Amino acid sequence: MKVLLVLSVSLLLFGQTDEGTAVYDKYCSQCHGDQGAGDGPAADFVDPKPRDFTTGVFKFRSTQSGQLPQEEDLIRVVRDGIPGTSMPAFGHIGDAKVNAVVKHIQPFYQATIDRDKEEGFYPPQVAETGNPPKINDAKIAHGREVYLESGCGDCHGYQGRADGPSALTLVDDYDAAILPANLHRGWEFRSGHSLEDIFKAFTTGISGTPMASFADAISVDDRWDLAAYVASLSSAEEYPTSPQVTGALVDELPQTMDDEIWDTAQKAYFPLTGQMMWDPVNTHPMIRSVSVRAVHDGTKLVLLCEWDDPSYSFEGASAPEAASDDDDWGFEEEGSEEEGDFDDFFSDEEESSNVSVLPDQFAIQFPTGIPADNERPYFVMGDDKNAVNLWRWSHDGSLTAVEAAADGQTGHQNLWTEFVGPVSISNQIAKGRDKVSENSEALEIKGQLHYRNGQYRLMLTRDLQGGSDNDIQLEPGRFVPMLFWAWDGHRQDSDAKACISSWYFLNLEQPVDKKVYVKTAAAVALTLLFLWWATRTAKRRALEAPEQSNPQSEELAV
Amino acid sequence: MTKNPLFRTFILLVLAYLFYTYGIGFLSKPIPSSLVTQYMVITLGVVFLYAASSDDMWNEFKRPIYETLIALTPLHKTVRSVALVVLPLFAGYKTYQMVSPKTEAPPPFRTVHPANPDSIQFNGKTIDMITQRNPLRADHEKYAEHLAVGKKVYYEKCFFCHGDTWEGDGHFARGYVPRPAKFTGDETLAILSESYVFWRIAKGGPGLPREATPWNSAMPAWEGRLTENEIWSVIMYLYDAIGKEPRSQTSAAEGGH
Repeated sequence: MKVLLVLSVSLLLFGQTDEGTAVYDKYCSQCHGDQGAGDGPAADFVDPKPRDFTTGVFKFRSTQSGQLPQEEDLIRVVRDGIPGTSMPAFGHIGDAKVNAVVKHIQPFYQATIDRDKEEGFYPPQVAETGNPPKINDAKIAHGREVYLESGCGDCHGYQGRADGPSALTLVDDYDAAILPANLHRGWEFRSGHSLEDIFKAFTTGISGTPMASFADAISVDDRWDLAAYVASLSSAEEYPTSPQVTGALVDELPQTMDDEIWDTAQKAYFPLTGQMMWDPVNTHPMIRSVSVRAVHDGTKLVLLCEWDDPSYSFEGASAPEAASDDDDWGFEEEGSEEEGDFDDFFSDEEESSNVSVLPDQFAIQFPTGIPADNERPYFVMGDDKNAVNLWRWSHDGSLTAVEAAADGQTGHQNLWTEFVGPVSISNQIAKGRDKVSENSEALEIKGQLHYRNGQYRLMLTRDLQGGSDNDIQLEPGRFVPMLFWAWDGHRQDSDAKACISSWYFLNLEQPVDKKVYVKTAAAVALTLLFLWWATRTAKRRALEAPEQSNPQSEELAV
Repeated sequence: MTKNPLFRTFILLVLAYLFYTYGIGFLSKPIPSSLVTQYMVITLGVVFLYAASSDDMWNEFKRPIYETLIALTPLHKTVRSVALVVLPLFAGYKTYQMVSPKTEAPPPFRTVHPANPDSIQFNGKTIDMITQRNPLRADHEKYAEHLAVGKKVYYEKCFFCHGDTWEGDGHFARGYVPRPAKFTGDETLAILSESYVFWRIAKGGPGLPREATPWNSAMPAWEGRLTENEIWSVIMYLYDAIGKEPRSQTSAAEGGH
């Protein structure tokens, strides 16, 4: 390590330009550290951790497995940022500065360059890709087969929601827990969502992570089909945030989550994010959005909320500990901080032990009454003057596991986790984050929960009329403020350490008033009457004064 | 035909409408549709006044309408028949839109830089918003040290929302309405005094006056979580980072905006 430091410092003296240094100090050092060791002041507060350049391990490359990136790869990361992480895009500072800062970090990993030169891996070789084929449904379907046969689901989950059997045990080369990508959130793909980007990710592998290179294991054609399948699961742009959930008025309420009515209901998308207002803050929000649908029949409301959570955690449960038990990630030991005890690092493999987790939770927050104007309770669980209702589910483990069944088409199994059952929903009144109490007079909220392949679905049913003054009375036609909370028990979320949305609205459709039709008909009739009167008046005048009509009018009519 | 005042009026109204809906948005910020309606009514009034400014022009203006109404030629007759169907339907459609229940969420009204109080209490100490200056600015010897402290505070507490490059686009910003403040540009720090910024950091969203919708703001109140010196440091760091000077204190006495 000392040698490395001396080496870095000496290179600093003649390898780095003033411009690169200035850009690095202004924009990069806060996370990546003054000497590129990934230890800036912000490093402890972000996840994934900032890159430690001194290890010479770079995730996003166009080069062959285990090799250093090309300069263009690094330029791209700096210019476009890494979606879904705290690495922003710096393209706006200009190409010259981006290039300078990429040159600036090179001395930090000079040791790796020297080693690779010695071993004949430098300059790095670009991984072969061929040309992307034209995508069709057959290729996507075949990609799905490749996905299951190659074991992608072991980590990324049967349906790609990052909930595979190994997902929670994975660690990166910093020995920090790392989750596989959720393939339904393409806008968070670290190295891009284009077909080429996805192809590249499993062709080059992602160094320093359990994501290996599949260049040898899967043929080029199969990899393109796999890329087509992964790309088909989501879009490159995050879904737009809805200002509201519109609850359609229906004759018959859905009895299950799979009722066809849900296909016609508006699906509102709300981003969830971290909580910085109170300690303990949540700087690592894992549940990143919730989709909500609503219908009502004039007396009862049914809400269907869906969110992704790769870990199924309940009161008193435990989960496998994230631990390194795999050694074929091809990461470069020599620059690693772990150098001294590298052998121990792998030799003291144990049977993976378990860690206790907290229950997963979800809550919908309403004000206790519909506000007359735009004032609302403080968005973090209300305030002294304005209380909120929380319809809250906390996982007590009381669900029934659904027997894992083989997929009829592919024969793959044991990649399922499925639980279903009724759950109890508590109704709480909060006047601030530390003044939360159960509302005993509240009306019952019926809950039905389904967890499958990394996704929770919660169906809530309640009368529009609340049970007491402190219980939200829902009225069709009114805009009722609404907000969402989610806790990932596996990440030890509880209390204020939560994922939270902003205030949005619930709007229940009201039956169209007959007066609307009367007024519309009246407008049509009045306009007709006016036109008839104007025509009649004009004709009468034409008869009285025929000289007014102009013989040149043909010209005008053109 | 192109010389006819009615035709010209029509073209003018179309151009005016396009300008209000797209042109203004292109030149600066788009205006709401209610304002477009108001502008169109005014434009229509002005155009009518102009058309009626002389008898000749007014007669020319009316003539095509009159000819259509009496169905002077077969083409006029066709136009009249179409108008008899289209105009009542259009009126009906507009009325239906106006009287049917609203399905769009009410727009958020919000004062961005509300007037500051005369003074605030910070950990029991009175801070006068008019006379209080950033005490660390006078400490020339340790200027770099204070900046370093401010930078550390920013990247431990603030950049999640306000962003690495102070643009209000940190990795948490996607989830918050209203969006976190953008510090670069001429709309925030550049027009605020340091005491105002201190107030906003110390008291956060919960300390906003009613017109600034404190219930929506995700800005934490940092009093109790940051020391006075840390707040002054982070303010100094921010001005340094964006390369702007704080607004002078005397003009701050007139209010924040």
